[in-house]
Amino acid sequence: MSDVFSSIAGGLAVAATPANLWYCFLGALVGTLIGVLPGLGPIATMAMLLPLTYYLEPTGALIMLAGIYYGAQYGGSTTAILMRLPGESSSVVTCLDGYEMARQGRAGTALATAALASFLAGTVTTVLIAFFSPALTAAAQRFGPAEYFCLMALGLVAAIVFAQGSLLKSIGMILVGLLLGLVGADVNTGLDRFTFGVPELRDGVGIAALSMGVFGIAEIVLNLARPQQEGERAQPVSALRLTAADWKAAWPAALRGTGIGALLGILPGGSAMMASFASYSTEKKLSASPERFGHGAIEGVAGPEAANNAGAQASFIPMLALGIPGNSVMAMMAGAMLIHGIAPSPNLASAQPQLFWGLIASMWLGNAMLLVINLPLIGLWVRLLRVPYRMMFPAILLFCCIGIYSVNNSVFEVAMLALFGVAGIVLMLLDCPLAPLVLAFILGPALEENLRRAMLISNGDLQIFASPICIGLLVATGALLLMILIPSFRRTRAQISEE
Amino acid sequence: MQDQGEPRSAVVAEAEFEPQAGGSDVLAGLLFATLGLVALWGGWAYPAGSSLDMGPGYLPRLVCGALVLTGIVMVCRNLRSRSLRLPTLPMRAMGCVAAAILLFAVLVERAGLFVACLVCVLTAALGDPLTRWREVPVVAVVFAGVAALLFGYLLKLPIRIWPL
Repeated sequence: MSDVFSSIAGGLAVAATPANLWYCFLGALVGTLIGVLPGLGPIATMAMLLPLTYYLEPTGALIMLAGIYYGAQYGGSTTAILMRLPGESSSVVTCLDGYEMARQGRAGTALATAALASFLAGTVTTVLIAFFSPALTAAAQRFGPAEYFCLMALGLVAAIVFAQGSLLKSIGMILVGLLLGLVGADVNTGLDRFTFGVPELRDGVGIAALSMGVFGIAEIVLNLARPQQEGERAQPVSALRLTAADWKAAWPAALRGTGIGALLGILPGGSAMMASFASYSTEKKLSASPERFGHGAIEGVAGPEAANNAGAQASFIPMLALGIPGNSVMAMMAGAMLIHGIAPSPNLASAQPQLFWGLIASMWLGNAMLLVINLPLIGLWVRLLRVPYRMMFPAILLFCCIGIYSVNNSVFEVAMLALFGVAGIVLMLLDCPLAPLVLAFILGPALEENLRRAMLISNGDLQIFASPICIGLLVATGALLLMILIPSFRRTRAQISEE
Repeated sequence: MQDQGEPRSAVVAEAEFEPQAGGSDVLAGLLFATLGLVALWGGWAYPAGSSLDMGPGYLPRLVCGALVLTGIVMVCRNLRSRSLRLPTLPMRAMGCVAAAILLFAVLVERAGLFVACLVCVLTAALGDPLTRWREVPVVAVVFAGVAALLFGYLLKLPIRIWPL
C-alpha cells in the first residue's frame, strides 16, 4: 500500500517538472481544441502529432498524447451543450439534456456540471489506475503465451460484441484487421507474407498510415461531401453555478457514471462513447421521474460526462499494466512508445517507473488543468467554431502528409495513407465499423505469436489452455458471446446503434 | 467555381450518399469474400503446418477462410430480403484528396516540402465544392510557408525544403 503512495509521489515529482507540466498543458489544450471542433477526433490528432513526439523525451511525449485523449472528452461537451453539436462522438448523449438545459437558460449550470463531473471521474479513475495497475501487473507475471492468447481473444470478441451495427460486419472487420496485421515477414520463419514483393511491406503495414487513413483522411473526404452539420446558434452562457438541488441530483449520477465508465474502459474493445450511452440509459432507468430526461435533466449531463472521461482514462489500464492496447487510441499510445523504443509490456512499471508513474500522475494534473482551461475560456472555444472548414481541412491534410512522411522518411507510407483513406471511405459508407479493424490489426501479430509459442511449448498439447487464468478468460469470452444471444441485450445494442 | 457562397447543404443535395441498410450488407459481404479469396490465393504457397506445429501459412488460411465464410453468409442473408442499392461514393472529394496525398508523395523528395505542400493544398481545394478560388492561392502559399518554416527550420526534420 505504502508502495503505491511512494510511487505516486515519485510520479508527481516527474509530472510536475516544468517541461512535463508544459507538455501536459499542451496536450490538454490541443485535446480541448479538437474536442470542440467537430470532424477532428483524438485518433487522427494523435496520429498527426506522433511523428513530432519523436523529438520529445518519451515521458513528455506520452503525457502530451494522453492529455489529448482525455482533453477531447472535456472539449466535446462544451459545443454539445451550447450548440447541440457534439464535438466528439462520446458527447452525443450530452446534447440531449445539456442543450435543453442551455435553452432553459441554465447553460452555465450544465457546463459546470459537465466539467465537475469529468473532474470527479478523472480523479477517481486516476486513483483506480494507480491501485489497479500494479495488481494487474503482478498477475501478469504469471501469464504465459497461452494466457496472453486467451486475453487477446477476449479483447477481439469484446470488440465484436460492443461494436455498433451489424454483428457480421464487425466480425468481418476483425478478420480484415487480422489479415492486415499478418502482412510482413513472419517472426518465426522470416518468410514474407502478403508483401507482393514490396520491400517496405516487410516490416508490416504502418499503424500510423492505417489509423490516420481510415480515421483522418476518410473523415476529411466525408466532411467535404456531406452537408455541414449546422449547429443551433450558441446559447448564452449563464453563471457557472449549481444550486443545492443541482448538487444533490448530479453527484450520485456522476459517481455512477464514473463506475460505469471505468468498468467499460477497462474492458478491451470498450470505448468512451459506449460508456456515456450506458450511463445515460442507467440514469434514465434509475430515475424516479424518467420523463424529465431529454428535457434538461441534470443527471443526463453529469452521468454521461463522468462516464466518458472515466472510460477514456480507464482504457489506459490494460495498456499500462498488460501491454495490450484495448482500443485504437491506446494503439496510438503503444505506437508512440514503440517509436521511443519502449515495448508495451507488463514489465513497464518495473522497467520504466518514471514513465509509468509520471504518466499516471500527469493525468490527475491534466484534469485539474482542464477545469481551468474549460470553464473560463468557453467563449474562446465557441468562437473557434467559426473557422470555416475550407480553411481547416487543407491544414489537417498537410499535417497528415508531413507527419506520415517524417515517421520513416518514406514516400511509400504516404501512398499507403491515400490507399487507406479510400478504403476507409468505402468501409464507412458500407456501415462497417472501423475500430474493430484497427484493434485486430494491432492485436493480430501478438495473437499469432503467442498462439504458436504456446503450441510449441506444450508440444501441441491443448492442456496448456487448462490453467485457471486461461479458463477464466475463456469463460469470460464465452459469456460475452452468449450475451449476443440474449434478446434484451440485442435490443439494447440495436437501440444504441440507432441513436 | 460557380457555386461559390451557396450553403453547403444545397450544393451536395444531389450527391446524397446515405448508406442503405440492407444493400450495404450485400456489398460488404462481397467485399469481404473477395478479399478473403484473393488473400487465400496469394498466400497459398505459405506452408501451413498442422495445428500442433503451425507454419507461417496456418493463421492466414484460417483468417481468409473465415472471411470468405462471413462474406458469403452476409450476402445470402440479405440477397432476397432487400433491394440492392449502392451507396454512391463521393467521387470528387475522394479523388481530389487522394490525388493531393499522392502528389505530395511524388513531389516531396523531388521538389521539396514547399512545392509539395503548395500542390497538395491546391489539388485538395478542387475537391471542395465551397472552395473560393480567389482565396485558395493565398491559403496554399501561407500554409506551405508555415509548413516549411515549422518543419524545416524550427523542428529541423531531415526533409528537403526547396526545389534547388
